[in-house]
Amino acid sequence: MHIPDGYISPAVSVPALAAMVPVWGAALNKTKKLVGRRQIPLLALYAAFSFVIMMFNIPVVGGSSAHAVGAVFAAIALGPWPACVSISIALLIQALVFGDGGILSYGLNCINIAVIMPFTGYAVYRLIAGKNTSFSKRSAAGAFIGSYIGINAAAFAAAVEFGIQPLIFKTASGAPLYCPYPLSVSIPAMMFTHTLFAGPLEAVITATALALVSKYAPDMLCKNISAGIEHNINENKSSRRKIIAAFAVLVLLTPLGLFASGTAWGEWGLDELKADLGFIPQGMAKLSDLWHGLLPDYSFEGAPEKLVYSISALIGTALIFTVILVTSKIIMHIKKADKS
Amino acid sequence: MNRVNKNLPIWLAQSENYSDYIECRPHFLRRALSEITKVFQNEFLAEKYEKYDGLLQIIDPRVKILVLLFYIVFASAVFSIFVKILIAAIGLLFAVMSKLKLSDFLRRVWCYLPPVLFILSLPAAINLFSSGTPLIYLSKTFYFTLSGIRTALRVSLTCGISLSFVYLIFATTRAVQIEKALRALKLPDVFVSILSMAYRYIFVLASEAIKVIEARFLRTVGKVKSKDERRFVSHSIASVFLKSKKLSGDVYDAMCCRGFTGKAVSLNELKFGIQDFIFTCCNVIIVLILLLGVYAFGW
Repeated sequence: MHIPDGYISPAVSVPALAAMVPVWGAALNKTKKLVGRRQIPLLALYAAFSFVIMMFNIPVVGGSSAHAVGAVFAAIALGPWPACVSISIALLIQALVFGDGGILSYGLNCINIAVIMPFTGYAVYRLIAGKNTSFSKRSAAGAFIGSYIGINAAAFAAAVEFGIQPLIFKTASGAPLYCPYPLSVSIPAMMFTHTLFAGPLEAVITATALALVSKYAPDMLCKNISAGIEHNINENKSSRRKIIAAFAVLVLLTPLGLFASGTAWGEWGLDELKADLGFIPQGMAKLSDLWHGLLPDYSFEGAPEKLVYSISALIGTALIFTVILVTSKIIMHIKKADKS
Repeated sequence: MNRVNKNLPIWLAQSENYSDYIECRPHFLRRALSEITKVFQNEFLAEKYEKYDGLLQIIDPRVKILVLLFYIVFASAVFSIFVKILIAAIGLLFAVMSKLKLSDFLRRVWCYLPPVLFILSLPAAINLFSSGTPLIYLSKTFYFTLSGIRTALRVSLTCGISLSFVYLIFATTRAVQIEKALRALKLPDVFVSILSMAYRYIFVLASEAIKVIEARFLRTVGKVKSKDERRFVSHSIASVFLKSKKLSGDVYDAMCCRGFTGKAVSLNELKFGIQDFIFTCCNVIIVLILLLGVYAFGW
């Protein structure tokens, strides 16, 4: 479910990252209210825990194995807000250390795995378990169904994010620029594996693990559940506003990327600009003149286009490599001089 | 030798056949172990490379993070395959100049996810999904289109570029330096503190998890039912959770004993030196060359 870079347009992934900022702010504030100064070590340990459980391989049908996400387990055991922060941190470390999930798509991964999955799972869990403060069979059923729905909701969100890419971002000839699969492919592909395999597995693992925690540390789980209830009751309007604001940012910023559709980003020619705007901006027209002034022979009249392309590519590549090599030599020389 | 054999039971004197034994071992435990061990290997790699006097090791972590992240954004925003290949080559050159082992770099970056993404994108390159000039005919009616293959290449290259620049940051910078750089770049203090503590305690919890899995692995003979395997994993998760909860309390008490007031303090400051200025200029020139190529020569 970790989305790598390359499948999603920056016009979607960057607003998603911006949208997560108020969510993290709200989550940190909520946790601080609940645990005070213990917030840092507590969330750090939970983030480490979230990271480690994503590495546990679980046997699945056919002799293969998959890994658990554990987001709904974390939401029930810790509360959804601390779970949101700890899973986000775990996802960041995964992206940085293992390259599991992209850097630009980090915001989207957080929305799916650290927001949609724990909050949906937790809401379903609360709906079924009620205000029962002990971990009963009803609670176990709530955890089972909550985690099943949570992981499927996250998978569905990821499938939609994949599937809208070829609808919005394509070249003039209609070829997709990012994820090439439309909704009609991405949704069945993602939902088939998650409803039949990953979902039941996550549900069994969550319910069994919570049952064990309730057996050996009943006070801890009940305390968290009580805190969760109290926390839900006291939930003020400002945090809801932050969440709504985050998604509003996402919705408002996403269409900005539509400017990129059809043409490569920043590669608008003057003709295209004229066609789109009805005029050529004066500054750009001047720059264009300046460019022709600097390189009067740029048009290479008579030279085959492919030859010009190849020669320019060779010169460009050689220039870039020379710049890096020369810079590296200079920096190493400075370092040696500093040492001596 | 004969005298020993007389005292031994027959089954113990016979040579062992390991083939059945290997088949019935619960492979999920091995996989879990290898996954968790990767954490330690990665840390080892980072510690190994960051002490070299290479190009990126010398650069201020703030400059390095900003510049390398810029390349990731730039590569995602530019559609030209040639420019993407150039940026990938820049990443490779940075790795060489930073004295990273090329085999490690290629294995970690280019050998797994980019080829997988390319293969996964291939079905979409068939004319059922992508219209365009035929490139390779699969049958009389179905063929790979040029635009479809280009999309698959773009996806794969963007992913590889992202992985390579993140690897360059991670492999050439100590975790403490990354933490300082993030603070200097005005990321919230609480977030950076949690991130740095989480990174350190992953190793503590991972070693706990390894102990649990190893203990089970050494005591497991024969085939284990899938149901029991799943129960074991669930119980291990619960056990790690209980340990992390207890540990967070202990860590907080230890922090309080050492004067923790709720705010993190960074001791030494980062300095922007002449080499950072030169490195920044070098990258500005490279980006200008790339933009020039895109605008002027249609790269």
